[in-house]
Amino acid sequence: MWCNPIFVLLFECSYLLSFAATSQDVGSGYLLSLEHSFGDTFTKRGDIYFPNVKGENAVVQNEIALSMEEIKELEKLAINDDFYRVRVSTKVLGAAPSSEDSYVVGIMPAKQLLEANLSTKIDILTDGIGNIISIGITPSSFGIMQVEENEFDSSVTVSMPTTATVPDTYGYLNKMEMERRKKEIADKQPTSFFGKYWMYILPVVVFVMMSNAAQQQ
Amino acid sequence: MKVLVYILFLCSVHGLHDDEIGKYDWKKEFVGNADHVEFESSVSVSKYLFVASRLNALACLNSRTGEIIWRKILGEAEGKFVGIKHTKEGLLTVTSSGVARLWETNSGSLKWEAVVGATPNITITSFMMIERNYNVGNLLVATSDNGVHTMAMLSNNPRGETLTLDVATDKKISIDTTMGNIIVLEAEPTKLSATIVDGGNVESYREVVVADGWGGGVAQLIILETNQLVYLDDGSLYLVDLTLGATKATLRLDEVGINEVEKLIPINDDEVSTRGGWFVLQHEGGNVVFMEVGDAGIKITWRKTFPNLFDVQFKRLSSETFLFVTTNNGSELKTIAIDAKTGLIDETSMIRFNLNNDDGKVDKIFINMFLKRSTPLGFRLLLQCEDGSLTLVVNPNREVWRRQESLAEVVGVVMIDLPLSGAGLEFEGGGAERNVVADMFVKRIKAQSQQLLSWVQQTLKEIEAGTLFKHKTRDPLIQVEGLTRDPFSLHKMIVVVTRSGVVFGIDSLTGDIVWRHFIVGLDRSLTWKYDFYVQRTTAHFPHPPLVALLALASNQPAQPVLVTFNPITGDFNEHSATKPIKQTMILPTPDVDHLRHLLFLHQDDSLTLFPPTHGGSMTSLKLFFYDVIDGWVVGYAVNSDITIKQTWKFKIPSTHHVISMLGKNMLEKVDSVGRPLADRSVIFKYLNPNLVAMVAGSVDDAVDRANLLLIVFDGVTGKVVYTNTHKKASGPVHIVHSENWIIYSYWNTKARRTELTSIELYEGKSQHNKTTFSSFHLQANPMVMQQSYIFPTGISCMGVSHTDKAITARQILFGLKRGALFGLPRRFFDPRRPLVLEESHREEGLIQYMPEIPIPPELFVSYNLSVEMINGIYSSPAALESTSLVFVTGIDIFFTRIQPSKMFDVLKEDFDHMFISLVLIGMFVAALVARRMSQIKQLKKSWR
Repeated sequence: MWCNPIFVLLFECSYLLSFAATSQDVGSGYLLSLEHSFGDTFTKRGDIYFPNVKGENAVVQNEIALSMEEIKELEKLAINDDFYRVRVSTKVLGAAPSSEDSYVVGIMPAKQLLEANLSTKIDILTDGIGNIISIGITPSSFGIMQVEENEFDSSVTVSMPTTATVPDTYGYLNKMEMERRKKEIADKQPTSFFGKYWMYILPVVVFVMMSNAAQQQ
Repeated sequence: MKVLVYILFLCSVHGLHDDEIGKYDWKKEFVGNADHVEFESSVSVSKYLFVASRLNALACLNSRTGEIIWRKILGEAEGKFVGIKHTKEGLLTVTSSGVARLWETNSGSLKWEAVVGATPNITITSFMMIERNYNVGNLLVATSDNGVHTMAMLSNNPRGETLTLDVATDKKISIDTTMGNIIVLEAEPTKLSATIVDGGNVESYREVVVADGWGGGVAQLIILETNQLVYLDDGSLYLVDLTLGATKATLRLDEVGINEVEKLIPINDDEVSTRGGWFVLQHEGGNVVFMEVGDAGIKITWRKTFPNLFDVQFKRLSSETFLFVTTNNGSELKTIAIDAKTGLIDETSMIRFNLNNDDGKVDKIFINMFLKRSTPLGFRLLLQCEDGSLTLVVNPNREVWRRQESLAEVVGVVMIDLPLSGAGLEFEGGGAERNVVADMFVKRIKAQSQQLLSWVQQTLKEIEAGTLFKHKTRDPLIQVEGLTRDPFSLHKMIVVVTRSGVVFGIDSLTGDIVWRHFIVGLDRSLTWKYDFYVQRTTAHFPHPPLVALLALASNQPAQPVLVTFNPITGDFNEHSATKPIKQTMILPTPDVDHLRHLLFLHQDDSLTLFPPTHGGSMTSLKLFFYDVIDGWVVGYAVNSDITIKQTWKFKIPSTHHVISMLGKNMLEKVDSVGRPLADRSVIFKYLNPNLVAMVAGSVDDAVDRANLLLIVFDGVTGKVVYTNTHKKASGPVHIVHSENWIIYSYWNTKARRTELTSIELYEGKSQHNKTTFSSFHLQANPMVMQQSYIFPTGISCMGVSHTDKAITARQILFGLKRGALFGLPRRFFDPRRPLVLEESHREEGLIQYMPEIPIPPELFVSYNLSVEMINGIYSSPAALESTSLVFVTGIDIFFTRIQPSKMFDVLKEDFDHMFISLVLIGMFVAALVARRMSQIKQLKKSWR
């Protein structure tokens, strides 16, 4: 299914928009250019500011409001039940992407973008050392309210693969140890004479009671 | 302790009673495509036949019946068998990693094993044996890419020596038993030199330059007895004395009418001392020339011409030497024996064998020659065909047995329901036609009364024959004979395709092959990937069931091969080649003829349907594909005009490569959408059918740095739903992905053990959309619960049980490396298993967490059978909810059925029907009596 080297990308446009650099070192952080498309070509939508390489507390900045033509295009997409797409470079650090192969792309139905009044949530997955694995975009809310809106309202979440669980041998051994201790403590506690020898006393008592009853009769 | 007792109690129900063995399960053993075949070395007809296969299996077959007498399987690290040799002591084998073993002929027990050549990382390419006396032991001579290794085979102390030789030259090694020498011929670009090595001491050797200025390869020369060598150069044969290096005689071949020599054939393969002064020269046009070397030089003893010459072999037995010439004209294979010295053909012992188109071409011929009392000579042929079958043929043209060895390499399986019996078919047929309601009602009544009638007739017949209460098959639950559906649909047709491109229909009740089809038109030098698509099941009479099989060449853009067939009868239709295919999908909605079409995505990104016409439902469907290309995962959407466009894509980090990937079964059923908790609330499962689990391994495989990356993503939107990394872990990875959970196994490089991680995905306490699911309407990522476990033994394959309505708890099936099929209830892999068990947990049926997964022997689905090299676990539901049918492939094939939550819907076989009916009748009578008595009592009371 995979490992298919011969593959023609479907993007018709092969030219690149002339950005000096998509990611710039801004003081202590990095700016990542966020681009979007209503058809084949991608144009700039804004920047995602990474305070550090890991992308904790990243925010969307400088979002460009949509022009009337762009809104029309978006509405056309929505009528055709087509997708609105966004993309970012795969590298937080380093030079501008040189080809189509350096972007990760996320999609959402154009209709949902209009319904959510251009309010979106962006999920970015990085590997923690400056490479972006994927981008996902979802509307902030699913609604049918439509207000004339041409400004984006975005939030961004940057996440990294979490470390998977390992077999919890430590916890299990701890638990066993605790159980053992509990048992030891219980064993050490002095038990009453009756508690220790009840199995011998009880039959005697029963026997005495029964013989008593017999005598009374 | 308490937990242990609990687990033991929990599991004891899964065991198998002694008398249940073999009632509904079967196992067939195979060896695999034969690489080496050796007949037992004896003068008369031998019983044993030894086969070493490309799957690293060594087997001893009964040459009269073809049954396996014993079989041994070596691990992958051993490398391939480079040869097998039957000696007086036993069967000697050498693997390419350099391990020599001697096996007992009758039982297959290992007598000894030793490493040939102490140097590590050598690849042995061939071996020979010099017979010597008992005190010094026979000498094993093996060649490798490094040189020549010898080993004295003293059973208690195998002792080895190595002679390192130049790797760059073209070498040929022969042995001389009488002299105890090893003769190494090295053909360098400009000269041919011989090194004669003393077998007892490789340090002692001498080198002779045989031919200076000769550029031929070692294939064009032959060593004969008494140190004579014949080589071919520029249309002439030269006879050389090896000890001196001087040319003794020359023969110009064009003077004796020989042009274009194909090959020189020695009388014995490696052994020089028994070759005498004879050899055979084969030249173009099927001409075979028998030559003799004497004092007078090289002379021709006899020559014969054989049209369609296929194979020439020498066989020598005591004093007899025969030349076996096989011709093959495409429809008939003919082997004749020629007395080597006289050139006389023994017409009585000729073997003719009609070739069947359905077997493919003959790959190899193995000849077994033996002596008979009446006629001097007898021989048998063992044919290895392209379809992987081994056939033993005897004089004059009788096929004694045939083994379908390609079944050792099953690559695709589909299990099909059998059709209903005749009466049932009519009933179904009535339902399939589209008529008015009244008409259909009449038809239904008619069909059902007919069914009743035929049932009565059948029962009467059985009463007459006295077989009414007898078991008709060995399986107590399947009491319908022949290839018809039983009420529980436990009897199925298993359709398998093997690596060599043969499709088999196997009866699941007995394991017998019902039909077999050899796919013509596959270039068998390539590796093919096969996929089955069930286009129409058996439930749509009068339309026949239809399965499509698509074969794609996995490494070259060769033409795909598409065949469709009826899985019950095995009637095949070949279809013309289409454009190279990148992806295939079966459409979820059937057309008016209940046929589900296939959608092909071609290499040029165009889409076609198969069969091409479709009822127009295409436009109403939204279809999405994804593909993995060079570290990118790319999504596509199908437009309404059947073209595709790229939508999303994401990048697998360049430090990782995809190891394993698994989506969900498109037609999977899920019984409950939520799970009740102890506090009486419900947690809803994240049941995204488009979810794909992918595991990528790091390119860096050092023990400390190796890691695995799990990416769970939505195949429609490309959104990553969950990711995690496993530090110090590597492949192989096996994934099971079903409902809302994923279980995968991997290797922990640091702790050196197999571990499993179980992941469950939940939407939370509220359900997002109750009626329809859309990947585009999911907002939040699901809640993820996970837990990891230690699996105490190696896993070679993983699978999961499927039942009809998915109500029954799932069972996770493991093919263990040790050769067993093991099934554990899924609740052992519940990520909510608590470390400290409380009352609320018990209420939910959770079991206490233990890091190690127990392997109780009663949970072995394959009980005490060994099912070796498991590489596929396929399960299929029966109509009985409790039961799942399991088919396991590997070098063996094994079929059984499992009841993950016991057989709750069928009475046990030993159920006391008599007792329950007696009790019932007794109660009934008692009730009547009591009623009568109470009536009398009432009456009396009233009179009082």
